[in-house]
Amino acid sequence: MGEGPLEFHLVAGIRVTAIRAVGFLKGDKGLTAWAGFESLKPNRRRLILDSMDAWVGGSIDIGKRFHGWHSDSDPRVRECFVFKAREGNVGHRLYGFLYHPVLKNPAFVVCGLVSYAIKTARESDRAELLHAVAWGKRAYVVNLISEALARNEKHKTGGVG
Amino acid sequence: MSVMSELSHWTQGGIDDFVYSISAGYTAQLEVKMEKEEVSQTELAKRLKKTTGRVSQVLNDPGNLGLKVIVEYAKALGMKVSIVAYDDGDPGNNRGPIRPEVFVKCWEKAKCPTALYEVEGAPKVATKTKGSTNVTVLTPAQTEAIGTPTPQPSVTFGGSQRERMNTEQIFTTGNSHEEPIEIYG
Repeated sequence: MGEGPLEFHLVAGIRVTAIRAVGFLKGDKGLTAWAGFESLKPNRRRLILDSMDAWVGGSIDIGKRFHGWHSDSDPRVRECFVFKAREGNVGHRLYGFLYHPVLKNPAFVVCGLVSYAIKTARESDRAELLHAVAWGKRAYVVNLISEALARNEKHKTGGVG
Repeated sequence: MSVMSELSHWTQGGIDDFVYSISAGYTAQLEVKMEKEEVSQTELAKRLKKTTGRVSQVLNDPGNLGLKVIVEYAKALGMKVSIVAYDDGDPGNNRGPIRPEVFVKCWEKAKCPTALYEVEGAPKVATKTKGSTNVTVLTPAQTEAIGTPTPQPSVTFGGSQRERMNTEQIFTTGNSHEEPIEIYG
């Protein structure tokens, strides 16, 4: 496994809305999304942050910016999600999984970002998608998400974090 | 780009971030339209008489777009552009800009009014018949109200900035069941 304890951090500067939140999973060599995002040029990071903003605000998929695989023939990848940025012929991708952390509120969904990839082919690498989704199935990962949301809620309400 | 706490919006750090967000929000609208109408970047470039590379650059890294470019690209896709200044009671920009799709959805929900008097809840315009012609007549109060869409309250409000903002919004958005006269005391 890893390079340290696993952590889940909500993306700094992106709101947790009533319907969506997005964060990075860190602490394992298979978790490359955070480092990949940090390695992008400032405007690519800005574009992705803007896409995250749009998504948490309720925007539906914009193919060139972000999308899921909601109606894919392979049910295993239907909970996968991607944020994209393009730089010349290079496509930057942040892959993640979708997870519904609140049983009483199934409309609320978190995108946990897992891996970063540079893409040159049109089709996504299915292995990349399955890798991302697999992280969202782990009990300790979903616990980390719940804890991060609780911390955020405490900050928001002025409680002790 | 600045590093911020989880509770500050990413555009709070500086005007460059804010401007980028506005540009990216605008080009996202173009991309949605292109996706919907299956217009490729090559086709858009042809309509604009620009290179595909330039179009790709604008869409993939919008940065600080000029107004002329903004209007040209929208027009090439059969769209128009408005610049909207608004007061959302967040002068420190803790929540980031209101995204353009929010304004568009609200406008569509209001049945796409083309003038203020068509907006439900806006000051009512009285009409009377003169011969066979309907003549629009505004009362002095209505004229004043339409002519001053964001008036300053004439009394001091005891509430917070947020409460004051809401009071003003009630008037400007026309969503109140109260008469404007009650708002301005």
